[in-house]
Amino acid sequence: MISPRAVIWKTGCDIMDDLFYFIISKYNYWGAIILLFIGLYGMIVRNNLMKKIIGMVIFQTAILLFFVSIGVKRGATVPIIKFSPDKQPLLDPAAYANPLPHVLILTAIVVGVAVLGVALALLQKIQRVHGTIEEDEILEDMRK
Amino acid sequence: MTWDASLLWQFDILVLIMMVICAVTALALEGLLSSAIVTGVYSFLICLMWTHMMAVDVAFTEAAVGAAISTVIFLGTAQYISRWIKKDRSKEQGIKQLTIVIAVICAVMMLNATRDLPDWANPASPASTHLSPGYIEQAYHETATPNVVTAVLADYRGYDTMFEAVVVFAAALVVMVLLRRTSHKHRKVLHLRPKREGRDTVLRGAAQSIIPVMQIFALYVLFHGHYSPGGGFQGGVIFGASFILLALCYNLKFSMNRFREHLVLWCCAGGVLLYAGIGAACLGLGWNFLGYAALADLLGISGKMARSHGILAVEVGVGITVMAVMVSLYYDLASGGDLEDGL
Repeated sequence: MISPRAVIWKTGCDIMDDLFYFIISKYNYWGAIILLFIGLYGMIVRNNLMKKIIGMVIFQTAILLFFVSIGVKRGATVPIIKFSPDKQPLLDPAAYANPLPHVLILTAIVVGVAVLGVALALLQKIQRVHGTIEEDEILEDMRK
Repeated sequence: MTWDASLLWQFDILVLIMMVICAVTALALEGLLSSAIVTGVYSFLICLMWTHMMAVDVAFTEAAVGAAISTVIFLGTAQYISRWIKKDRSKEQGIKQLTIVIAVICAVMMLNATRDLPDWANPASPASTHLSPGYIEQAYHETATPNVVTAVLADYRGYDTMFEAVVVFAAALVVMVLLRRTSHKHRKVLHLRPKREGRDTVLRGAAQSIIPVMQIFALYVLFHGHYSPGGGFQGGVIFGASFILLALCYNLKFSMNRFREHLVLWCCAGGVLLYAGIGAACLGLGWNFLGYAALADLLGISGKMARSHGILAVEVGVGITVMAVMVSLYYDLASGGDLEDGL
């Protein structure tokens, strides 16, 4: 005969276990999604164009984080082929992290800084033309 | 229902929490200079995250690009704009605040959808079982390049990398078209740096000793990219950063005497042309565009060594372009386009 208290305790433990497992097994996606929406919020809500650009940087890194995190393998190391003592390459795919997301994201970071450069150049141009980088003041200046 | 403790999830969650704090702080701060610095901190944190995810090449690039160059061009731009954001809000701002509700709803939906995605670090996830084992097993035999990332970057996905170089080149041109001007009667610097010629002896002494080491390290990173993390992108950014450091510690003119603007532009175009030229040479020898094995007969080496040499050559092209583009971005953004006085 199991007491009701023990049943509740057991169920509670199972739920906490499930939740813990859910967080531990998916936290890379959680981090990416939270950062994604922080960046999106900054891009939409902040009035200052510089803040919008910083929001864009955060949004971008969130996507990059998502991509790299799907290439992680448990028990794998960096994707550089190792050699056995008799100079034979060790080519077990399970021993190396997935190199494909790394390639895509590496180039995306460099393109990201180029995009950032163009955005900051536009920002300086807007400052020259309108004398401000606050969104509402620019709109007022354009309506004049 | 078990999880493996070999990956330090505590470390990752700590770094992720710090990243979220940095992201919120960077967006919430009123001073734009402090925002730029916090964005740099954010880049360093994501760099830690990537090292822990075994993406060392990505972490290397992020440390050089995100944490160094981005912060410098943010600070360079901050000279020409108001350093503080305005507090008064227009009436549209209230409606915009509704976005937070939509953002939270979307975030919850996406978080719920993560149930269907493969588990963190699962070796049997679809991304790790279909295409990537082929690259890991064949890359060394086909290209004689132990760093699989370099082999995939410059050989298997050579088109991708070539057009990334073109995009970076185009960005440098766009910045130049937008900002560059020869007359400086319109020059309006909001915060002029006080002249302090000859006073920062320590800074200049440190720069003098560190810049040659940086440049040799950049070349090492570029040419050793086959065997260790690194390659054209990282080497190019570090080499460009050495000129930026020179401009920061002395002044813009001092750096431009050593690396003139027209030379920068020639390097921007020359790297892309070197890359495309090697592709075209392979085409001319009767192989596919960027099929480096075509160079085997020309160089008198085996096909896989020819691919290794081809990778090195296009990495040099990428390195030259990226180096020149970083310097060009800094020159234009930090001087407001007239190349008179920098950060």
